[in-house]
Amino acid sequence: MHSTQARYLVREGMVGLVRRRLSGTVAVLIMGSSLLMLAIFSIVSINLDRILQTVRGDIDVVVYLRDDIHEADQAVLHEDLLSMAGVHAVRYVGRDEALQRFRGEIADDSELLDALEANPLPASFELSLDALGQDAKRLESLTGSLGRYPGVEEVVAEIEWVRRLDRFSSVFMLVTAVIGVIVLVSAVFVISNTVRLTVEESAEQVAIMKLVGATNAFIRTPFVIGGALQGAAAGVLAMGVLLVAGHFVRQHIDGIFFFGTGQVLGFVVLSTLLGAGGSLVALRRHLRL
Amino acid sequence: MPDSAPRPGSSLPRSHQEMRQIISFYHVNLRYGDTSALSDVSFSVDNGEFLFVVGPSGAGKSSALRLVLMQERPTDGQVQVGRFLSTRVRRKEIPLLRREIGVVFQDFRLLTDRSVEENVAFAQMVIGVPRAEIKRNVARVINWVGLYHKRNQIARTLSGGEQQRVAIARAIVNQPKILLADEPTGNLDPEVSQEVIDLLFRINAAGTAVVMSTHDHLMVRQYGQRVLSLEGGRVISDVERYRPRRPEHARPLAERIVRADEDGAVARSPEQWEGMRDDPPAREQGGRDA
Repeated sequence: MHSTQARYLVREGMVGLVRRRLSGTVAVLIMGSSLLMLAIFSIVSINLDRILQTVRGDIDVVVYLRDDIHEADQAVLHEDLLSMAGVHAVRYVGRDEALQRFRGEIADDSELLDALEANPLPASFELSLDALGQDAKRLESLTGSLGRYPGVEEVVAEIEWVRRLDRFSSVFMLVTAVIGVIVLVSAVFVISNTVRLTVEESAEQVAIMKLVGATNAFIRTPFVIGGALQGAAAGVLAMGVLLVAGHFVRQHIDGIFFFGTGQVLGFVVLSTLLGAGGSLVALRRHLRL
Repeated sequence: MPDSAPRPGSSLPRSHQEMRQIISFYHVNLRYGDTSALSDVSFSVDNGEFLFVVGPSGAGKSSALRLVLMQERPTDGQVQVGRFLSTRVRRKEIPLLRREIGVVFQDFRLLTDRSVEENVAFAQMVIGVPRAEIKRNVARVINWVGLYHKRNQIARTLSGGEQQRVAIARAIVNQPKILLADEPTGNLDPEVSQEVIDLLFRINAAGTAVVMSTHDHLMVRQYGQRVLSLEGGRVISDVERYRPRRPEHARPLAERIVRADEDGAVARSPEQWEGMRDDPPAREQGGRDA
């Protein structure tokens, strides 16, 4: 490769973009919006998944103790709970504290409680579970075994809710995967078609290059450079819009997951590769003769 | 077919033949599905020769030229162009083959949004000629086709004749051994056509083999050059025309235009055509090197 040629190829790649600026701009806009859709979809699904995780984090098991529980039994139970798989943390709530809390919860009507002579609330262990413990089956066996401890009045776990959450999660993951594939495929399809249009515009030029004895590599290079630049522009555009939109969204919603620098760069790289790869594929047909 | 016809594959042409023949078709068949574009076509073109390929549209002229460029490979038989054999050439070598061939088309096929200079320089850029040399060569051929004063004009602003001259400049800037001209005058009026044909003769005079296809039987008869006639994909005649006392293309332009008018104005009946086809001396197909 002579330096003249190398310079020519790079220049040609960019000149091509200027020459096809109208269709090129349209292509970048279309590619950019496809990418934006893809990015928004990723962000929404990641955030939904996070919400699901948080909901799961709220699932607790409460082990209510009988008022006449032996201290020794209670200590053993406490020990065992701490070492149980799936249990993340254990908190003892005494009867007084329970009443206190209840009072806080009913707030204005708390004078109703004053009518009571004794504290009707039991003491309890509140368990918070980790991911392992949140599986519906495991939760069932956990509650079963806890119920057999002496001095345990009742074990309350929202098994039905967890079951439903499980079903919902798996449906959600499936739907996300299907939609994700559709969005990705259509983005790739739209982008490759857009790139193909710009290549078709230059079909004549490609034919002439072939006739004067240009090698395929030589013909390809300016298109690949042009396609890559277009892809990069589309990626930057999409990420720019996304970041601006994200800025406003974050002012209103706290703790929302958003693309970091890594993901933003990844998206730009992805769209650059899509642009370059799309040009290659689109050219193949013209390079055969 | 005479026994002396060169056989493909088994024996490559001997070295002196290789020197002499730049294009050879050996019993070439070209089929697209059920339709046959060329049937058992054999002929060869010598280095530095001028050949008209004549025939109505659909006769196989363009197919033959595509075979020379190796845009197509024969279904049967073999095409040899310089040192390249259609049966052996690898895809990667085809660009090298094409660098030895200049091509001119009826529709010019220029980069219409670029200048004359850029169009011609393009052909050199593609094969990696250094910049300074490109400038020199481009200026030389543009001057040679008489467009130096328009070198910076955008191709689409030129007249048809001028565009064809740009195409010719592009075709010869790499100093090809062969110039293929596929109906180069098809879109041009007679006077401009004449200028283009003049250019082709001059290129031929400088040593390049020129193959020009046309459907114009009358036109080719005035030049006293070899004429290969195709019809329905077959060679129906291959005639080494009488050499005029003075080479036709050396006559003054005005005289030739008059002759062309006289010749071309006469309407001929098909019977007369038949008679003219076999004007002596007819070449034996494929046997002329015996």
